[in-house]
Amino acid sequence: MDSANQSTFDSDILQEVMNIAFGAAAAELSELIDIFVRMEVPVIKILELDNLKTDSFYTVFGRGRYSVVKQDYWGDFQGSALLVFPEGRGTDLITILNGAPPGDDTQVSISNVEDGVLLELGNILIGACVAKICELLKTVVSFRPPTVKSGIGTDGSIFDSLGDSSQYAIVMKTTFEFSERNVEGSIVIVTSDVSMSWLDKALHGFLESF
Amino acid sequence: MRILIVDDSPIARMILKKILPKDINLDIEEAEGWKDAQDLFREFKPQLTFLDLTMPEKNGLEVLEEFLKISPDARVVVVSADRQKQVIAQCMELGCLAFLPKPPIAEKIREIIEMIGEMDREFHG
Repeated sequence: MDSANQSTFDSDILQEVMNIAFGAAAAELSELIDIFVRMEVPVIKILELDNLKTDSFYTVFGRGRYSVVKQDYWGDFQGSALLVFPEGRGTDLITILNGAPPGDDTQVSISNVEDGVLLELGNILIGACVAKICELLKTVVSFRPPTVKSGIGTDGSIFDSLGDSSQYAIVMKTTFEFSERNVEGSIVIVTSDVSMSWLDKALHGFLESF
Repeated sequence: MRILIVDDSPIARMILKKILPKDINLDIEEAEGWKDAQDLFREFKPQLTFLDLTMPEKNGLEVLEEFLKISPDARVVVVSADRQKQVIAQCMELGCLAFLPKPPIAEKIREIIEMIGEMDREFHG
């Protein structure tokens, strides 16, 4: 992607699309588990892919160690959708999803339950968010099964799905908070610059549909 | 009819302006957030305000409260991507006229504007 393409790419439209999509995802989660999700204004960044895989990891997520649910998607636009929580909030997440903290007689370890909860939250939030983006941009994507990794610090390999042909990545990030449990997380959708020209047309198509 | 649109997103404001009815005489002002909106709200005296919720400097629920303090009869329609039932209930409790999820639908906007037009005509005889 050269600078001319970057300037034609309208991140304001993408920001509004992401805002609507995350709103739909939060509403779906709130219906399912009766929790209030506080949303922040989405942030759109265009980053060099090499940097994103190394130094810029912290630009996207901030410093710390994380539990990450990752789901790759492909179609007219392709990349990865990530649900990111600070590591070690397992008990809170289990309480959020089950309505009660894990009991002492839990047969499986907290970390296994946490992984299950993360996958379930990822299914709901990522699925609803990407589905809404697709609905607004009039396209369909396919998903690979989600995976969960805990203890991620600077592991740039989570962006490998963007492939080697991409030079830049478009990063759409929305931070949210489950306010009753004081747990903050973020949903990050990363797409490769291979999708750029399609995305640009789709975004303007979205705007022209009104 | 005087209409104020308060939304930090220029695209959201653009979409709303595009779907406002063209056959009704509308005087439209825009604000990016509370900072711009507070004076405009007092001076422009909108007959209808469209208000976003997820804004950086002051969230829409706080702005709604401020508007209703300035003018308890203000007609404020919240247009937001955040359509959780708790949020809608809060908006209605605070006194918004209606809640529309983003992206807004032209027919709904027209219905509201026509309803307000009728109310004002009845009020002024």
